[in-house]
Amino acid sequence: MKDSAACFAIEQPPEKPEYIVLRDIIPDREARYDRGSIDNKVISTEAPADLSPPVEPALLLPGPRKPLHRFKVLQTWEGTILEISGDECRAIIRDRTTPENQDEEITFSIEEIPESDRPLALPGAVFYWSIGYDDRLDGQRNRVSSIRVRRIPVWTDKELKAARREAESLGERIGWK
Amino acid sequence: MVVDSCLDRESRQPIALKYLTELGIDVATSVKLFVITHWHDDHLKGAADILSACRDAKFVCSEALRSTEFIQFVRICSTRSFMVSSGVDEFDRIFEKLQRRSTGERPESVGPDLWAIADRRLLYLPKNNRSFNVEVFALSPSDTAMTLALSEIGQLLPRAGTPKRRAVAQRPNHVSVALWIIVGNLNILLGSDLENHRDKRLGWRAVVLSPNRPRGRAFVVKVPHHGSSNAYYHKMWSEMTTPEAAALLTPFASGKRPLPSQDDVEKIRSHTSQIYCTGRPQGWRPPRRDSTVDKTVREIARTRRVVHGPMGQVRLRLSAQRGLDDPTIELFGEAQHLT
Ligand SMILES: [Zn+2]
Repeated sequence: MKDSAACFAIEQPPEKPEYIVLRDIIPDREARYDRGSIDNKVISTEAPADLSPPVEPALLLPGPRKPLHRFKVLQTWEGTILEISGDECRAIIRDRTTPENQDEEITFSIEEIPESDRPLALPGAVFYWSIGYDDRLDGQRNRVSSIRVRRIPVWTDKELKAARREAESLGERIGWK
Repeated sequence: MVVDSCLDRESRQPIALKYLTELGIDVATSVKLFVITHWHDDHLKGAADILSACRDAKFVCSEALRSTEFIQFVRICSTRSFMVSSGVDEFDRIFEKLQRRSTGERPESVGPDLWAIADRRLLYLPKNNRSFNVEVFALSPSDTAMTLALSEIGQLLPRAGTPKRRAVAQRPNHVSVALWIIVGNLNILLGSDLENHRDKRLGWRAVVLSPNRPRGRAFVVKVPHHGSSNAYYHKMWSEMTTPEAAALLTPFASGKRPLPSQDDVEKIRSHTSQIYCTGRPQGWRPPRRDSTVDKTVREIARTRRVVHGPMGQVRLRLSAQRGLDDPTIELFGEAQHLT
């Protein structure tokens, strides 16, 4: 496996996500997920940050390779950061595993967010929190909690100007201008 | 009149509409004023439905929300990013309704919508065929608050090159519309979410100091900002309320500390023992999940609570027959008398 060419694929059964299978895949997928590289020794079992939601569309790649790790997902939340103060993050989380559940507000240490994601962890940022088991080929099982901040596109000048024009005309239509 | 909005948990209807309709009131013609005190999520859910149902009501909000910057902010949040489930979404629906109303859905005779600013009279119903007159005044925002709010709203707008994050409620809240209601010779103070400020031209100090505010003392107070200590101003209580006024509290389980705290309640208690709360401030316990999940969550979360749960209502009624000075207070659902 070439470092720079590696990326994640996610495999899951069509209905309830039981397992996410991580495997290395072809290079041109990398751009899509922007996950950076992984090497052979340490493979992150974190759910990909760019995929929204992380257990959404199955991308199943045919290939002879056996999965290196299997991440058994027990629980996933989608969160929105409300406030960062000191080393603490306050957020509202929505249950994606059992959507009937009410939203919860939690606080946790900023250390729970991977260092590479921390610059993105600002009020209003969206993150995914998954809890599950990391089952390795050698039979080892680790309990895993993974918080990944979603990478989102940026505002363009064009979009902001369009919104301004829209707001001006909406104000006129309401009769406020 | 209807002030702010939230939804009934079962029917998902705006609770005020449900209540008034069940009393047999024709909301289309009977509601004269619909006030949005500010744009935060916890005060807005279902507001657009109220606006469409209450055809003859004038819509009132702070003038700061009329700015192109605020409309732009709402449009940006609602249609151009991943920002969901905040008060901003509801405001987008409000704009849509206002637009429809302006194109002839509403009788001319209703008159224009109103901008709230300190000491402005928003409603006057003379005695005529009832035994008392009714007046409604805005006590805030002050002019200084308005100037500040306009620049703050400008700062909410994202800049090019910054990520499309979700809109989360900003604090503090200078533009919240506090209200003073006069019914005959009785006064009611609705404190909205107005807080204190060092600057005496802002917040509760500005209200108390204003030479132009309506005089008198309120016998009912909707305690400002969920009873928080930064909205407690002793002169609001000592100069604007009667001793033993009925204090109505709406708890807020979101935020660093749930509101009100025991300390907050004690401060209010130094002015009155009649404190009624519509629900439980401490929030609700999260549901049980898989034991591995629960164990992991316990290791990671420092605090954790469900912030929306069953609500209660406090009903205060005045009877013109029995005499307006003899109110009855009833509690429903989770509501409680804080003793
Ligand atoms: Zn509030």
